[in-house]
Amino acid sequence: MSTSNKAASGIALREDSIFERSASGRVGFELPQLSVPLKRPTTLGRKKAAELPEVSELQVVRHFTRLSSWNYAIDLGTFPLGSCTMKYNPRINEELAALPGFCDIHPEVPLEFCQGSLKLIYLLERALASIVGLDACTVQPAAGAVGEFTGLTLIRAFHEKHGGHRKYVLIPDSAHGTNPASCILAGYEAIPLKVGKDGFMTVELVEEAISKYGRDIAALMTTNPNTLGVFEQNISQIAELLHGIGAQLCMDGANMNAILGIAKPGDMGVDVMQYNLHKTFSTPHGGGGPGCGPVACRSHLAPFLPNPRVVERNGVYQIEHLPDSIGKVKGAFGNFGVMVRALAYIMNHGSSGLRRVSTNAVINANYLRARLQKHYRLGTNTPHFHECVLSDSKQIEENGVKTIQIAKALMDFGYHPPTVYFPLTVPGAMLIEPTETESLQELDELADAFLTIAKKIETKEETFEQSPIKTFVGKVDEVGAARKPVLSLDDRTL
Amino acid sequence: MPSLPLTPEEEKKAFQTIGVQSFDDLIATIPPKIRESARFQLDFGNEYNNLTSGLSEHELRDYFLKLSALNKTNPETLHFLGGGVYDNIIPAIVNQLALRGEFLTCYTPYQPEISQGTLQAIFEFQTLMCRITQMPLSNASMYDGPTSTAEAVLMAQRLSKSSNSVLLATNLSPEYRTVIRTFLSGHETQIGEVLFNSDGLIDLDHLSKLTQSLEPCALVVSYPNYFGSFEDLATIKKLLPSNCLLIVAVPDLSALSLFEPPGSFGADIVAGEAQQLGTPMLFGGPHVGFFTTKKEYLRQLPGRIVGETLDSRGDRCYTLTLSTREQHIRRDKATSNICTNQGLIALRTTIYLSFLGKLGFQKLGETNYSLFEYLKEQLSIRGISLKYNQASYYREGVFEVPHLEKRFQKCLSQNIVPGIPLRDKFGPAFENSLLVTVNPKHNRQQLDLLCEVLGS
Amino acid sequence: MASVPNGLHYTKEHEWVMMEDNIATIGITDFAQESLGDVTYIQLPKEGETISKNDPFGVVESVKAVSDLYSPVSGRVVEVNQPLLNAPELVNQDPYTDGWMLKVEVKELSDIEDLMAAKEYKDYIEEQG
Repeated sequence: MSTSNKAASGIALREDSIFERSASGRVGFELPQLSVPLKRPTTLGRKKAAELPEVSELQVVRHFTRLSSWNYAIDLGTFPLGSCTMKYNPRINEELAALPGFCDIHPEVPLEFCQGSLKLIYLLERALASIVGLDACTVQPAAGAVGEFTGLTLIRAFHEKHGGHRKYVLIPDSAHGTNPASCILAGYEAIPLKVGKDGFMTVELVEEAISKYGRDIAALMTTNPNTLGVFEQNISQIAELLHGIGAQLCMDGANMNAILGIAKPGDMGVDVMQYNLHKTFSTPHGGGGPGCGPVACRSHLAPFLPNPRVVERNGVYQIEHLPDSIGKVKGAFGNFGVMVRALAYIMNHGSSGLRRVSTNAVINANYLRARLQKHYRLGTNTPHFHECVLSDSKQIEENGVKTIQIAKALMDFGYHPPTVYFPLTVPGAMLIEPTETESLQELDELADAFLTIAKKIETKEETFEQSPIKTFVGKVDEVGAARKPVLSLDDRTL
Repeated sequence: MPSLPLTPEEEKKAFQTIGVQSFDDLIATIPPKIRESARFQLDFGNEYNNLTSGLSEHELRDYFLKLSALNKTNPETLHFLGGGVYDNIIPAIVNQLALRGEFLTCYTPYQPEISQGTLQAIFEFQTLMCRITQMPLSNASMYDGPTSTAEAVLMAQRLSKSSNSVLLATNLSPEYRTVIRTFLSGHETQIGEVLFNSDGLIDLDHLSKLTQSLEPCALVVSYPNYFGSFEDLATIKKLLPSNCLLIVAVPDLSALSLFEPPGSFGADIVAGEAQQLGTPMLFGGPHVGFFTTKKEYLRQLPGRIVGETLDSRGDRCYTLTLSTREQHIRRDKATSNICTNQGLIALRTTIYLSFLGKLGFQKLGETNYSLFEYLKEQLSIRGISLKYNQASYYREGVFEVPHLEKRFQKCLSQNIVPGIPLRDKFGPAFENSLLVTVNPKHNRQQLDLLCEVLGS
Repeated sequence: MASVPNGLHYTKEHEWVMMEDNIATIGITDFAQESLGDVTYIQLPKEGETISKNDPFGVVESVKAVSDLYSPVSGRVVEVNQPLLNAPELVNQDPYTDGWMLKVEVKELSDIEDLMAAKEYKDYIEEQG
């Protein structure tokens, strides 16, 4: 009896593209009748109408409902995707974000017409700064990667104001790929630091880099806990070393879910960090966005924050433009709709609730690792926090089965696989982050699936070469997709 | 707490399985000094100035309702605001479908076998963007119009072997220009600003001068421009040397329902904003940028792309493709640092456009266009004319309003926001200039009311 | 074990060079194509272009990785393997024969002196693990 296998079969309906349901002349959504005389442009008029679908409301509803039934989602099952913090997205947040007062407001109304929005931004920025023990915060960046770029650009502006341009940013080689990419965009060269087997940075590692590059180092970019889920124990000493040569410590806050109320980046010597509201603060991932990547910083970097700034004077919210601002990294104030959800989440939990979020996230990840570690080798033996890294080394050695097969097998058991082949420092890595919103029962079910797979590999009953087989589509030919790209319907005929 | 299921008993069981005595054992690797000072205070004013245990759903509703009520929106206020963000009528099914849990709570479709819904929807989005802009290649969406245009500039710089200097039209939205500059700030870039002439259009002589002196890799113009009218893209394209890309920013994609798309005039990249097609204004975000270009630039395309392929059973399916351009593989050689698209908003746009359909899209354009034509006429009767007399406006334009400041305040006192005053954005020559915008929610009475209040 | 034919010269970046008089035929090794996985795209210089030793001259892409191609010699590109550009899978199938990439007219024959011989390269890739 395979109680660990949640994947049953059922009816999922196929669906071609919405365009293929069109019938010429069919009218879909109706706009109000024109209350003024109909006019059309006399010059530059569009010659050929855009070939949009011509379908009925029911056809649209069926189409997208069918499409939705092919997706795995948090609402469906555990989503142990490491570094993504796939926690439950509370629906009260959706209700609040849909309030007309928040939806139907234009960003350029006079300030007295948008006090609600301005106040929300102000309160959220203040809360986010407090949580990490820093002095100021901007919610303008649209995503974590933009937040990284913003943080680095703040550092750049700071250096330029106080002594001149520097060239390098040190980054551990376990870092997320956006880190070096953001460095380049911000005008720095990324110097990789080879992190040791234990998975964290040592003081010697940083000293070596400092002796080689000296005052050309603008900053060190860390993730804490790092991408292996391990706490950077030496972070305070490293911060001191950096500050000693006038360099800054910036932190990728992707893993904040591990340390809310448990450790403050501000106390670690961090000068600037970016958050991911769509990770730590439960705003929905929505199949790839929207997100929000707020940046919190110390007061010496605050003069450079993106404009406009929301300030409060005698209970009235106003806008200020900082003269030394780095500019703007997003239209208007950023992803306001995402901010509503995050603020609701924070107020729903309160400070002790947020601490429980992290303690439970850490307990859950440790529980899961404890259940799996006899059958999967660990990526690192160091104590980990809200996520753990397993490797496929045992399965490869004993039976030639790789991480990719284990991941695809998990789908046949009804789960989304963990993050695979990241961090790059662990070959065949499986990065597993259950989050705090899973109960022990759910964790046991997930562990059972992993263990059943391990057993089937061990007894040579399965190699999972053909997986996934139960999914709506079989193994997807990604090579073919890249060799002969078909990127829109009109590419098909070619 | 509803989202924290771990009970005290389960906690004990977990500690046993893990092999520790208490939670402190699990965080022992954090230096004690850091652990000790980790508490923080949440201050939301008044009775919530030290929020420790959090609010229930009921209390949250109460708080947020009061907060949202501090905003004055329609129907309480009547506004005529645009400049890159536009109100629009959103069909009921857009929210209903887009907020389904399977769309809302899924992740980036990295595992194609269990993400076909999201992937096919993105493929349809890409197809819609291509068909509307008449460009052959679209990515899976960007954060918004300004950042999408900034990415277009970065792409042009990557493609150019000789130059990274850039020209920006000064009648491109000030916000777009600021965001572009910020994204270019990491590298030495010469940015030339092309002035506009007394017709509010790009000064072609100035453009020629700048292309000669700066040898730019790209020119960014807006279509329509910030003042609401249309540049002569064909002539502009002819003026540009062959190694200078023409990037056309389209802050209002709905304009292409009625006006000839920039692709016809030789645009190399057409990027912009699609918020006005199915997404509320939301005080500026989340919105959705689009990015379309020519086939030959495929490998320099930023962001994500979905491609069609076959599965092991021979059925059609979809997958993220060409991801080797992205940060998670190329790292410091990535085409940009973008890790995401605006999945859910792109989905809304796809649902909206599918439902609006071919005829509806045209009607949307006609509605906006006709409303603006009527407004133009009625305002001119009251002595308020367009600052620039152009043959074609779409749905917004700059009007010269005598005693603007006084009349603006008068409008506000009647809960009307008549437009965006342009003095702060464009200087003293725009002392009495107001960018007035219509949207499909407007009707004749509302336009008449604006004319009455603004015109007196 | 990746195949390493004798008679070719090898670079640390996993390219191979075959010398015939002063014409160098260049490709990537079996080890390289194995590491990359199914190759989806190759970018090469045009005939007539000059390339320099140690500089990147092209790109080879697979679904999961992308690598720059570094030139082992300096000279003028006299021929590019056109069929390969349309069928990049040839690199996986036959990295040393049908998967050849380009032919270069070498200026200085001494360019190949610091390249590895087959045995040296075999040891080198064994070290890589």
